[in-house]
Amino acid sequence: MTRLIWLLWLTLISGSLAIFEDQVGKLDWRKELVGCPNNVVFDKVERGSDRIILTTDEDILSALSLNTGEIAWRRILEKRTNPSYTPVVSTSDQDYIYTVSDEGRSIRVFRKADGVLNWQYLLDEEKSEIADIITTSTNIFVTNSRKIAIFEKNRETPIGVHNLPAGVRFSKFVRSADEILNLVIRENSQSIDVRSVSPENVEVVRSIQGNVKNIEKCEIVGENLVCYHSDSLTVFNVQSGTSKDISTALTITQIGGNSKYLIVRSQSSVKIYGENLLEVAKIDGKYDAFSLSNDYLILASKGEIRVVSLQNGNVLFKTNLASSETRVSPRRIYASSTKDIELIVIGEDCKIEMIVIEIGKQAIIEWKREESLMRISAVEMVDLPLSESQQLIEDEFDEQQHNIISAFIRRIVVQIGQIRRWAIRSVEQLFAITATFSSKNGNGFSDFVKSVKQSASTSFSKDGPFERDLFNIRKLIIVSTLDGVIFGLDSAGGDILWRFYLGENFSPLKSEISGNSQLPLFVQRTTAHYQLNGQASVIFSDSVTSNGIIVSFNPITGEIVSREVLGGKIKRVSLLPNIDKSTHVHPLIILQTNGAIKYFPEIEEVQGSLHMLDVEKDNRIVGGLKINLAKKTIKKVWSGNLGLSQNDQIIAIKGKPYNQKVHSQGRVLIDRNVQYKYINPNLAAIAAINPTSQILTIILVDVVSGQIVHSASIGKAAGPVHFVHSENWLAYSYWSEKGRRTELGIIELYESSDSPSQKETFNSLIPTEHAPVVMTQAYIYANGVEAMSVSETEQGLTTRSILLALPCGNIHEVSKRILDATRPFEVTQAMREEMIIGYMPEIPIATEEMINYNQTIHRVRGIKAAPAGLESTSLVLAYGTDLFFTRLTPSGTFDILKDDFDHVLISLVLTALVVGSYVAKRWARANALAAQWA
Amino acid sequence: MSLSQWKLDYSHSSRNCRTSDNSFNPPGFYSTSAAIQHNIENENSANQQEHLARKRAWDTAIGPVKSLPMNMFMMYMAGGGVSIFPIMMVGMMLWRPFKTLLSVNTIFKPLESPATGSMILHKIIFVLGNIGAICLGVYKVHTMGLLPNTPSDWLEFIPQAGRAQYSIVDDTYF
Repeated sequence: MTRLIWLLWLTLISGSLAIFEDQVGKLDWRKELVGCPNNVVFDKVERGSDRIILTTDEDILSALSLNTGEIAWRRILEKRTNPSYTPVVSTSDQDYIYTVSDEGRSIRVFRKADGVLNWQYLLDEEKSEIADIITTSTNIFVTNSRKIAIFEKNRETPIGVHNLPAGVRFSKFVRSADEILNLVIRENSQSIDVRSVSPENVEVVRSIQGNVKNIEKCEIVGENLVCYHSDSLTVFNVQSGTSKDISTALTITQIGGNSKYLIVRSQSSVKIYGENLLEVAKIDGKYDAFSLSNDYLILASKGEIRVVSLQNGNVLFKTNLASSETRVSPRRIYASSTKDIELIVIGEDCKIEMIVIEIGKQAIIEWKREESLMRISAVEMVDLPLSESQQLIEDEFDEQQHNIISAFIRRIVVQIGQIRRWAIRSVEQLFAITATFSSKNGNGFSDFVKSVKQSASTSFSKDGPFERDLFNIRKLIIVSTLDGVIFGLDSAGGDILWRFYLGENFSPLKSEISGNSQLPLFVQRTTAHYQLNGQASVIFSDSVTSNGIIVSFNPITGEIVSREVLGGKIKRVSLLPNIDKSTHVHPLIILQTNGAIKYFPEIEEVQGSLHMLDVEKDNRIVGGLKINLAKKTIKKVWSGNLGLSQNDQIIAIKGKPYNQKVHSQGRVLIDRNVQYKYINPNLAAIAAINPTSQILTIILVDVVSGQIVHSASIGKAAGPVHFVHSENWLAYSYWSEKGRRTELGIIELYESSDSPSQKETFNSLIPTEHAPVVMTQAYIYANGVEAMSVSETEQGLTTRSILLALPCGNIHEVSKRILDATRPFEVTQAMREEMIIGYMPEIPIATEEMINYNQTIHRVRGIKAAPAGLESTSLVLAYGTDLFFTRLTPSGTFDILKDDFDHVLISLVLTALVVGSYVAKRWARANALAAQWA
Repeated sequence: MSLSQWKLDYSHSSRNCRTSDNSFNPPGFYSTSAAIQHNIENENSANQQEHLARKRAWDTAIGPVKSLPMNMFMMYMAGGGVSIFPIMMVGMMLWRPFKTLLSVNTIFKPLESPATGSMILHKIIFVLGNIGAICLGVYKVHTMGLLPNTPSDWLEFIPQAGRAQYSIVDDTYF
């Protein structure tokens, strides 16, 4: 019964966290993305808007409006586990799109108009590296590396399945004159098998002799199979079963074409071959991509687009795209021509551009989409620069002068400046209001009020000066993506303020622990020092020489300040806690694989030492390094295997942010005593999993001394493991094989009661008499977890919330009060008065606690939380397939008035009361006087 | 102020007073005998009044002490919850004795008479009683958990510890 009451109470609390309908999109925004396309199909319809249908590297099928680039619909299919496996392949007819997805296992049919799944069929249990699909007017033919399946268009079961022999490395369909043929190349085979495919039967009709050196370099061009190898081209005629070799005298990088023409591209030129493989034309120049449409060949390079006639190779149109220095070479282009040529250009930086070419006239970029945002690696949030008035105030207190008169004059000047700014702003606002009023003449009062409100809100949030707002809630979000693009986003609406590309030879760094690619991003100087510009840096490696490169830039404008190439490979890079006194820059410390230590920027005066955790993943050896910053020497202080066994795999290590603020140093017990938190800033958490015995080991180790503070093993556990390490606690999620469910665990560390409670500084080398008290608890979580993070606030006073990204696309906010190791099993009356929540095995998942309500975001890879100027507020950006940004108030908005706070009503009531009391006073006096006279 | 502020003295006679002329006296009234009688009664009542004054003074002095058990009972009945009524009761409990403490002299002024003599002892007892009442109130506040006398009340003022060593836990790249 009591539990029921508590549950009710919990739901009441969480109910107040949810937002109201009119707040939707007010404090948050979502950016939907489709990913880097690997195939684009133009879908021109007679009625309705034209679309393009994309399949992308991220295995997303989507339809974009051709005119605006907006997403019409989007279907997120299973992500490939291995990038070498086949992406989603698709073909379409009038009404439907037919796809093979999930690594060649599923066939799915979607309706073109709205992306509704019409039917699906599981083709194969096993994954396949290759897949192809083709349709006729009545049938669908699908192949993967093991079979050919034949479907009727309106039936979701195959009418025939033909098994292919083992070792198939290539299997594609060719639409020949009146039949569908299937080409199969087997491993180590000297021939290409051609099968005739029809709904009735599948049989080998002929086999073409020929040696294919590299199957990746084979493509179906028209009715032929064309393979290339350095400068030689082999064309296999499927109909006749003959093959022909030609030497192009060029190192071929790409081939393509249609049934009439064959296009061969090399580094320095493009050749067009016509019928009977006769060379029609040769166009010199370095082009990165080409596409055919009707009689046109469209060639694209970094700064130029050229339209060439296929018949004779004459240049029909040529245009230089503006600002070619900032442009990135195209990766693929797709063209469609009716009257004008519509060109979709996909750059190396995953930017989709739609260019309309009117031959003989002009080329216009209609729209663009930044799809590299789907592969975000690191996120930082930077304060906006101080406003002019704030700067004046800073100036005023910065002066060391103590002359009263000059200080007074300065004060007056500052105030005049403030008044002037206020006057200018209000005049501008007034103009805006009158403009909106005059433009919407006489649509009633409500319209007027609405327009005034709108203009007020827009002038403050979007078009206002780019400076810090009152509560420092608007920030600049710097994002580094694995495609090598750095973005500056406005947190107010998600607009891209600036972007730059890191260059052709960009290659991200590869993490040793997780094996993921990373593009580390560091903010070295914030905008707090208003006389100096901010500085941020990204670190990556050169794809050719694999040397490290540091690019530093101004985070507010995106201007690149410097680009420094290091003389070796990067092993580690971190932000030094020390600060350069003169420049206020936190230098980066870079450890290279050859053992050299570098600072960026170089600093002279540096003392002290720094400790680092060194993990050898393969040998399961964990060690502590001590770096003498002045002498640039590394010393191994301790090392050991921390009790990890042969089969344990280290899956993650997590430290704590070096400047994390913890306001409350203890936990209040029910007898009003304090249990002090064990806040060790040098504590690192190491998670290791043993797949054979299914044991998850979590070790908390002091980086400085190597002392194992706590070690826990969880039996019958499996990945995925996510964890969050903050303050004095560690929260983790894992899959419990025993309960067949996801569980959340929490470990909290407290000082043992008789140790000194108050310390000036925390020193890891001073031994404690007793080990810290460890409290642990585990909870059932009735949902999967894709990513885990924790909220951050300015002073660390607000109760933290743990953010869990769920596979269904929601982000669940769980208060630390609920995911707590100290929840008692029995709640006494005194505890109830203190509002302590008793232990329940399950963490309730209420829809009100989803911070992104119905704005689902999928495949979340990370959640970044940053403090706002208000203590109650934390800014959160979740990134994955989409971006979602919101404000989070883990303990409610205790320091701001509610959104629906009625200032007008309250001031009206107050004035009415004051006026009323005065009137009543006079009245009473007059009455009293009259009574006396009577 | 003495209790006998004014009196009608029949024994006294003056020339312009009607009572000086015996012929105006009602039958059977002799001013001399009335005066004697009055004198005797006066002597009696003076004793009694002295006694009464002392008694009143002591009553006032012991009053706060006497109300202590009653207050204890009331506090017990108020309960330990921090809600409006117990808070109001405890507030009154603390405020009333405090206010009285500030006006001890004014309270004892009407009781002052030559009969009672010095009231310093009374005042001391009175003050002690009030202090007792305040102590009772403070104890009640303590039991309600409103006094900042435990470490938990000062927890938020403990500064975050600095750090002697800096450490970095970061990824390594290959």
